[in-house]
Amino acid sequence: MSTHVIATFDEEAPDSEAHQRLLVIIPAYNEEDSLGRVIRSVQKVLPGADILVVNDGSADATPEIADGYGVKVASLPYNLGIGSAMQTGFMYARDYYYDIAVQVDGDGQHDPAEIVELITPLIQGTADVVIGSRYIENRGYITPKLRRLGILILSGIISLLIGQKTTDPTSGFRAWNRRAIHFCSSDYPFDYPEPESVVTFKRAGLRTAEVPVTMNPRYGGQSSITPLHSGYYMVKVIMSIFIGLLRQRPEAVKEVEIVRERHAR
Amino acid sequence: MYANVMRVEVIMILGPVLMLLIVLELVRRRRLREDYSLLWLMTFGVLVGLSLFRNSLLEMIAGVMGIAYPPTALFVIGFGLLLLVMIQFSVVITRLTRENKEAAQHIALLDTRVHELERKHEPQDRA
Repeated sequence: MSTHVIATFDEEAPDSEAHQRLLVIIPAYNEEDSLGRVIRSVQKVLPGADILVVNDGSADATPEIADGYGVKVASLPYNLGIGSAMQTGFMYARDYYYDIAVQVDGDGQHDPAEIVELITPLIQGTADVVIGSRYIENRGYITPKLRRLGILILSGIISLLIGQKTTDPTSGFRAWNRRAIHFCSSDYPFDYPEPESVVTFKRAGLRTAEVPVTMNPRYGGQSSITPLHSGYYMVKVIMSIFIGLLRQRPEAVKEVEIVRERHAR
Repeated sequence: MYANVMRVEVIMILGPVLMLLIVLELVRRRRLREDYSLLWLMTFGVLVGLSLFRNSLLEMIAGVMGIAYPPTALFVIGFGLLLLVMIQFSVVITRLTRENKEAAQHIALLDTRVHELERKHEPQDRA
């Protein structure tokens, strides 16, 4: 495994051990206003990475825009929600043996330039899932007060449950290694997946880490979490976390098993 | 007065019997699956049974439940059974949603694969 980030994305030798294949998954639901810009900036930062836009049943030109940039597009026939859309991306990453998957939202909130920092712990082998956190360092991201309170409550609950400090469990700017990709392709919450999955990862024996990131105000479109939805969001997420604890402990398959399965084909 | 009591008894028995027949007919026509009909059949079967033995069984059950007026026990039991049917609906809907999601994901991935294969083979087809 190479620890050299720049040498990581080499299309010429995608299968060699020294190179890690990276898939940038962009879940997009009616993001025609911002998607082009997001794809362009990912391509600029990581020319060697593959991009998969998961069109979550958009009614607008989202799939056509993605197609126009020559990226891979997986179009769900109808809207399934962010969790199931991301899971579709994980299934793709699993089926095509990607080493790393990164989620970059289609609304432009995540800065693709920071992907390199996001995947560093994966390449160094110190984590299985890396979460980009807005709140490790103050980089000027302004969160509405009530939302900040909600995130603080969730961070508190989750940090207590997993015994590890978590500052931004709602962040969707994340990177997964092969083990985590495998796990999420079969076990990922259908909606509002972020906070719940932090707990599930820990229970499944996956190591999580946070790195500081900056988030931009979205380019266009609407947040999936409107004020009216916030109450429902908190109730659903907290309930899912605690009911999840009552379930049998999930198990992430070991790296060797994934490699063995691959060679068996 | 006696006529009224009779009328109530007739309705309490005929109502669920009619429902029972409707459910059976739906199953016979394959418009209702056997497994989803079971809770309905049980609900109406219990209601018919309790109505038929209003003066013995129902009164005894009402006594056990601490309900002074036996027909109220009938409503309580019927209501409970209906709740079971509704929970079953929620479970079935959840399963359908999951299967639906998996089918949609599968379609999307196959579609992506077809497009990638087409893209790969296009230049050769033209040549």
